Amino acid sequence: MSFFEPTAPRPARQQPPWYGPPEDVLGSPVPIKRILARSETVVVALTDIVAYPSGCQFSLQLAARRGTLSDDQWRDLRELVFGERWPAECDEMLRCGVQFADGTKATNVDSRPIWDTPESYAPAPPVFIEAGGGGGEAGDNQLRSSRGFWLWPLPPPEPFTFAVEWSGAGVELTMTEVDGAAIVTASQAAEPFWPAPS
Amino acid sequence: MNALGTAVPLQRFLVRTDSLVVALTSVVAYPSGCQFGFRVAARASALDRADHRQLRAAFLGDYSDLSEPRPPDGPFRCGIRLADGTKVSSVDDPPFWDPTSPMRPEGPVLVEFSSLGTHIEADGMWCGPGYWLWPLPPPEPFALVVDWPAAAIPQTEVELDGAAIVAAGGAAESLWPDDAHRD
Repeated sequence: MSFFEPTAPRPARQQPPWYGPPEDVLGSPVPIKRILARSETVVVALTDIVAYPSGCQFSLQLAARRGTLSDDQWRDLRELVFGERWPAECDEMLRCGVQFADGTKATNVDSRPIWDTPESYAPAPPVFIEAGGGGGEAGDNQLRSSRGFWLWPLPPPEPFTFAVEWSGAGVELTMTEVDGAAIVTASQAAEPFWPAPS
Repeated sequence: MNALGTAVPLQRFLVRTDSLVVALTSVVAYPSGCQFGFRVAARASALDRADHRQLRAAFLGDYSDLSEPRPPDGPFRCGIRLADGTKVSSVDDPPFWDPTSPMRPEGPVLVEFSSLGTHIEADGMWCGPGYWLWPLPPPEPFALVVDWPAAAIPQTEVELDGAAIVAAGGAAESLWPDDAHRD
């Protein structure tokens, strides 16, 4: 008798749909680009939205310029732009989210990272969670950082609000209207990488 | 760079088989040039063991586990061919470029930029190479060419709309309008 039991093939790992854009779908871009907030030293911009059948990804660009900031102020701003600030000061971090016409909200402050959740965790929709992004440039006088946020599921096909607040960088709460119908329409053009099993 | 790039909806599949995909996922235009983002993905369930091993070697850039005769090695390659025949590729030696000098290379220049790394998991693998083309292409159709011999991806080309990229580059917005340096 064998000590070890026969091994059944493991089912393929399935990324939960609330966690981020699917890895095997070519998303469809939505032509939405906005400067969300601008101060003397920082800019928060929505560079694009990519729609998938299960949700959409917002790409934000954070940019900073030194201007007349002191060395300490510039270091503090760099930590904020690249998300390196000590967690105790997280109220100073970039906060963003969406609010639909019926009042439903989802923000990156509410979302829980997957490593902080049990396997059975199934958050109630909608979820707005940091996903993707990354990368940037750090020069002596300018900083740029890309941040990605995933909204699950798709928004209703109507205007909704995208909110951003970044108190640590001097950006007050700013609301921008986004066209949910354009996102839903674009999602229909997303294509799976692999054909569905017949 | 003092500009907010504009995404151009030119995403498409370049290669799409049962086991392998090469997709152009993003094109972002600036006044001075444009970025191309790709996704190269393979799924393990559609590969036999030898093909999986070869692809894994290509994605990792480590061919030491492959049996002789080994397939060709080397990175994913991207290139541009303009209507006048001018060619540039990601494996060309980039020209010397002193950013503090007003002198610029003759161009075009295509360099790897902002890649998304390599991810190998039980059910497959993917990587996200990205490239920067300087300057913007002419406002006419041009060829985008890719291949990856190490991953058995043959040379494949698609035609892209240079006019759409140039128009998007012209629509790029300044981050700080009071800063004269726009690109």
